[in-house]
Amino acid sequence: MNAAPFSSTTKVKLTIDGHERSADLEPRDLLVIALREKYGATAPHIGCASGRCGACTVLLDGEPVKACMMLGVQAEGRSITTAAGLAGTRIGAALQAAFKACHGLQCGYCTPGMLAAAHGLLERNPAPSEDEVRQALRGNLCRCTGYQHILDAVLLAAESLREAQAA
Amino acid sequence: MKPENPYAGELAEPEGWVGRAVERLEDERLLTGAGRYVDDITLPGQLYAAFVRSPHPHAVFSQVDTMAASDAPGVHLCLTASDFDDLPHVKPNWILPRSTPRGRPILAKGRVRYVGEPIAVVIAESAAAARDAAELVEVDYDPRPFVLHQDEALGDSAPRVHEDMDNNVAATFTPGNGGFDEAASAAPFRTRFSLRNQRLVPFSIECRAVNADHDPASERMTLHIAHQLPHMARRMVAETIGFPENRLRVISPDVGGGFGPKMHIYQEEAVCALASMRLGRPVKWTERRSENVCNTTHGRDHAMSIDVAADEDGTLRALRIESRANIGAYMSSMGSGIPTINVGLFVMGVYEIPAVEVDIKCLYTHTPPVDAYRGAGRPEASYVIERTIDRVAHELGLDPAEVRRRNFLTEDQIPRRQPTGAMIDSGRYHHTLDEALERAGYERFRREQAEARERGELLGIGIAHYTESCGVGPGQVQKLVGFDRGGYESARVRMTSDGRAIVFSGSHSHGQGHVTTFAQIAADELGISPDRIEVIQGDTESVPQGVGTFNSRSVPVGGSAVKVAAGRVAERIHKLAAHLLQIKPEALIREGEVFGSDASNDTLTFAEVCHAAWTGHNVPADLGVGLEETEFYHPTAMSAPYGAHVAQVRIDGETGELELLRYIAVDDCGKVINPLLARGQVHGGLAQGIGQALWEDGMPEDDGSTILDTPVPRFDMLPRFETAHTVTESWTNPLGAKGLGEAGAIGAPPAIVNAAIDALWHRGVRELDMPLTPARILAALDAAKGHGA
Repeated sequence: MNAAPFSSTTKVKLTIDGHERSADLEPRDLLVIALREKYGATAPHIGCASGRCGACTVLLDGEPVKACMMLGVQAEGRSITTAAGLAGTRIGAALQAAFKACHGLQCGYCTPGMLAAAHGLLERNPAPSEDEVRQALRGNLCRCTGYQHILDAVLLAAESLREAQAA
Repeated sequence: MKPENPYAGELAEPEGWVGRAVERLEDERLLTGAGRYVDDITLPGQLYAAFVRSPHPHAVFSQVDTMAASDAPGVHLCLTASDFDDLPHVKPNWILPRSTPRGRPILAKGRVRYVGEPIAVVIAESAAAARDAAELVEVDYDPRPFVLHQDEALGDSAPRVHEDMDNNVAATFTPGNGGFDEAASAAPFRTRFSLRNQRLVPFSIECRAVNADHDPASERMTLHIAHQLPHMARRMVAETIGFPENRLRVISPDVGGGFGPKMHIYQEEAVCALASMRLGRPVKWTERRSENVCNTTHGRDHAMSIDVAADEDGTLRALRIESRANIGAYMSSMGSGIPTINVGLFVMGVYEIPAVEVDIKCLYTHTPPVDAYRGAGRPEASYVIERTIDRVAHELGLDPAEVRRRNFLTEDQIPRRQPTGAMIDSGRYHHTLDEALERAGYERFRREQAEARERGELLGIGIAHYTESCGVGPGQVQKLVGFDRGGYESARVRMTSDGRAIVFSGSHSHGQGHVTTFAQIAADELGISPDRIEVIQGDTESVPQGVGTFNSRSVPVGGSAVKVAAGRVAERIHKLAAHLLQIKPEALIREGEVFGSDASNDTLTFAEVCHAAWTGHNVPADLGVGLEETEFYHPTAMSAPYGAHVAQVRIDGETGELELLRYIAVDDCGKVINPLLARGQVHGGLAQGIGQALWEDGMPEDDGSTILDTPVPRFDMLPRFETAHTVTESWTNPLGAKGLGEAGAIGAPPAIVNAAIDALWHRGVRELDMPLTPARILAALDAAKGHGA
């Protein structure tokens, strides 16, 4: 066996769900691989590693990104919110409650990405129409729910956030 | 907005927990990113596997050069077929009698038979290092002629998939009562047509994964596998690699979708286990999507010919169906049973047909193995009979709904065993169809359709009135058809000293929500709320021997086991409480958490009784210590859920685009345990069924390579579904449940294709094959020009 290390690594500092973390990344490490394997943040999942399924979607400085579509080193110094940190945001907590109320998840594998993408939508648009929800989340595949309960959940979360705002 | 009323349909307001739309108890961790899937588990000393796979659908080779790979950084081990004196094969466990099984070698030896077949494995310090090294493995392929389609595999000159066989026929199955020719020649109407039920890629969002951990000191092995049937996985791995089953533990943690393919054992599970044994360290393999589409089993893939005879009023007289099923290069675990038993028995649907003949051939081809995918044979059966009914109706100028009514089995004919062998336990077909047509506004739509035609617009409405079969066993029947698997399910219900309960179940959820539904079932028996009940699944060392989740059997079989076991525990609680209060059991009164009687003021709480059971200090011998019961529930028959689905479509005659306007599903799965979760099951099945009807096609490219981007439905591609239930309880199990997980995938393809043909019939279109792409619809319109009615 040859135990020589792999290609050269770079120390990359990130803030993940509010905690500052650093790890040695290979230049080729996708952000999602880095998060899962180098930082131990397993909330974002891998379904395709090619930008197609959205299971790895996280918030990068508040904006949803597919974490398989950028390199870990590109995220240096930035702040990442995964499903594990979403409960700390107003929108995230509302979404989580609504997904439970509406049965917006079955196997749960796509859910962390779905929540992050929905978070991005409600941040931009507090009163989305059904069609706007469908368009905003079309990059996230779910093979269990047929999407309707997720749609219900996002609309319910939006409504509860608007009500809380008005109160 | 709030979800629509989950009690739509005829669900009565429930008395207990069963029937209530309880929110799921398992959601919290999944919503906070704390789900624990196999790839999330990394063990001390973890190593990683990467496989070298065939780029050819058929090739021979003599050398696999792993020298460079072995020398690559971080590599611990390379294995090829030549590293095994007696190369293990993954054997099927459903072998239809008189079939010719050929299981998958765990690594190809001298010949590859489909693109993606594994040839070598590299085990290294990281997944990236293993993949890098796998790139260095050299194989001296000599490509050979190959066959991809079943109809091409039939001919004498077809390349043979297995050189030791005389042809490519893996199995044949010919159910029915015969008499077709006589009955058909006596009937005034007869027509023939053919159709395809195309190959599909199941595409769970979590790919397969295994982490094999052999401990040399104890000679025990733990396998973490993303699996639907943990106990079967243990048996199948043990059988494949010759490992003592009693020293093998399978843990299936959270599983990210199953849909059928995660109930088998493949090459990778066996190879990782053997590699871990050689290295004494855990070996993890997480399938990539590019591997998932070519080595994980596909579904469907039937080419069918139909010959049907009827009276002028549409009454069916005779039906003959020939099907050629493509089962891929090897016989997968259920690969000979799904396309035969699961299709042939059910091709009569919900109808009375006097003479039926079915002839199904299963063919080996140079494609990935085909096995169960959501519905597993029943979608193919429903598709062929429901297309046939519409064909008869249209040719005779009759209303397809009316033709169904004229042929339905009636309530006085049920229970019934159909001449093909299908058991129908319950059915009120007129009732369910009427409910669906009412919701769909069938008559109104027919008027709108006629008006639209005047304007040159193409509207269509399609009905599918499917039936299927859920809740496999009983075991005696499985034995008859060569299905070497249990037909029971286990449940162990244990009270804890604090008045809470644990339910251990041999079923395994990969999204269905057993943690909630099984808790609801146990709650009604025990008289406590579901949040005091913990449901444990997916670990062969804590759960009694079970069978697992497939064939929509979890509620009817697994749920019945829970009900029976919990019922026995409740009986013992009652007896013990009476004993502790020194009264007769008949005199015991329970009010909420408190046991007492009219005879005295003495009371005990529910928790105190549980506590007393486990101290055993004052327990009579005939009651025994503790409160725990195990049930291996073995059904006496399978149930036949059914439903009426209606699709409304608009087709653009210029572009060929099909718009699904409305989809109405009225399903009858008997007793509904949780309407919210039931609706989720219907929705998910519909999405997959609509995906098959409109977009998905898993047939390999002409060069044998797998389609990498099968168009799985996205958020903006599906309409809002309109769902409801009729409730006709089954007598086949104590819950009265029939199974629902596959309903949507069964009903949607025929409903939608029937709607499309309904829209185009007057323009001369007689046949359309799935998926209904714009190109196909335009081609059908083009070909039909001048043939319009």
